[in-house]
Amino acid sequence: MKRRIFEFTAIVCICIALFQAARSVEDLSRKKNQLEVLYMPSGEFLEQASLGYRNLVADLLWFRTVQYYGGWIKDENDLSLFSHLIEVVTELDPQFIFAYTFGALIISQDIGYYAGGIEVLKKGMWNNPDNWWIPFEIGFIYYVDAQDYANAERYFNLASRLPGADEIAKRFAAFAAKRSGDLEASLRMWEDLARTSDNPDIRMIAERYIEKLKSQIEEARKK
Amino acid sequence: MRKISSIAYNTFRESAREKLLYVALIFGGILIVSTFILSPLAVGARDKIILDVGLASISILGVLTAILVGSTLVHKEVEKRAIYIVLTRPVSRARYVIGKFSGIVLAIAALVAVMSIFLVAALLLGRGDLRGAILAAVYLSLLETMVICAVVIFFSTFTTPILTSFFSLCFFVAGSLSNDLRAFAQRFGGTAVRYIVDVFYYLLPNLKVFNLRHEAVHDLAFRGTDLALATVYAGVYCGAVLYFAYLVFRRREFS
Repeated sequence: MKRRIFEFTAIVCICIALFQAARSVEDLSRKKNQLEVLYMPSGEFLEQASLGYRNLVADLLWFRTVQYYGGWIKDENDLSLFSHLIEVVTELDPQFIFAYTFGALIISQDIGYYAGGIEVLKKGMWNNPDNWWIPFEIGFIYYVDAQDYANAERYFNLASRLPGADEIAKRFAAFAAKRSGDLEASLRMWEDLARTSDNPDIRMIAERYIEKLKSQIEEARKK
Repeated sequence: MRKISSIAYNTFRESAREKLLYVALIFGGILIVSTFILSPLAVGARDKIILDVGLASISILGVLTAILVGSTLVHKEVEKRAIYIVLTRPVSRARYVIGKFSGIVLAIAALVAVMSIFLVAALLLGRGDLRGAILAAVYLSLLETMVICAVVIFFSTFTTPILTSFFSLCFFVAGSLSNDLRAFAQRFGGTAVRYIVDVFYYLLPNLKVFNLRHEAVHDLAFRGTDLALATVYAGVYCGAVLYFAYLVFRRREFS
């Protein structure tokens, strides 16, 4: 009986010790995580090192990218290495359309660097010339962020001519042609995007910006 | 032919008794199913990740199991002296080598088939597309595993299981990188280096021809002739390696 009590106590003590040890290295592992992102090798190197399993490596990095973005939402980082992660993921898997579109949206909206977002999308367009969503999103960023209506119209028109293009591309081209660049027009475009996108994550981002724009419009009216 | 098939059948049964085969099977199954469960974390890339992980698991586990199971097969028979019973019968050494190879390929094919069923189930549960390119990618992975099986049989005829595993793994890594090594040598190497690398390039298996995973995941076009060419290449390579294995094994004396 005594032996059993001793063993039980030992197991409990070991569990507590393990738990405490894991907690004590939590910060260290978080720091290491950030360093890993900082010193992430180039996509070209990782492609060679992946021994033909480059899609699998791209997926593992994609999980890391999503975690990194989640860290920004929790105020754990400033997204400064996000562009690098997207660059490496898309170099490993150039047909990973969602990495371009999601990455560009975060870079242009959350980081506020719309030229960087457009750059990511242009790389995606080069690698996937038949995909209509990529030029459509370039047009969107030109319209909403850069207020460059001529380029926005050009890319919306280009998107509308590609196979499988949605009606929304032509509608947005007309918007851009009017060069109406006010907050109301931007709001209508975000609302259209939230309604049309079949991706829940894009819809979530769009809804966030709809709320933001609505409050900006409200404030402008009060003034 | 009957002698080869009975050796193959016995090798298959022997491999099927290996716990490692079941460990690989369970591990592959868990990996594929867990991708399905964890896919919400993938943010917008669920189907792609299920396919990527599934196809890579089939290829990696197939190759690793072939190396680990295959490396001990001949050695075990020598150790248990079972090889004396086989070779004292009217069975040529060539038939013995071919029988061993066929048996292990059968065992790995069974493993690949079961893992493919897991993958198809995960895809159908996730309402993903089941395209012909996915089956073609699985088929090419099986050819890749066949080539590695031949290499394993070759090394196992004259060296220990540990060294067989090590050399076969090196062959797999070098075969995956052979294109890049050649390109690197052509760019930066001198004439002698280029010739040496060229010799290695043709001697090592070119495993890139068995990789259709990217095309399968992104539904990109692929040609049927490429599949036929890869099949012929695998056949010729396996035949050549097994012939060398036979030459080595023929000279080996068992006392």
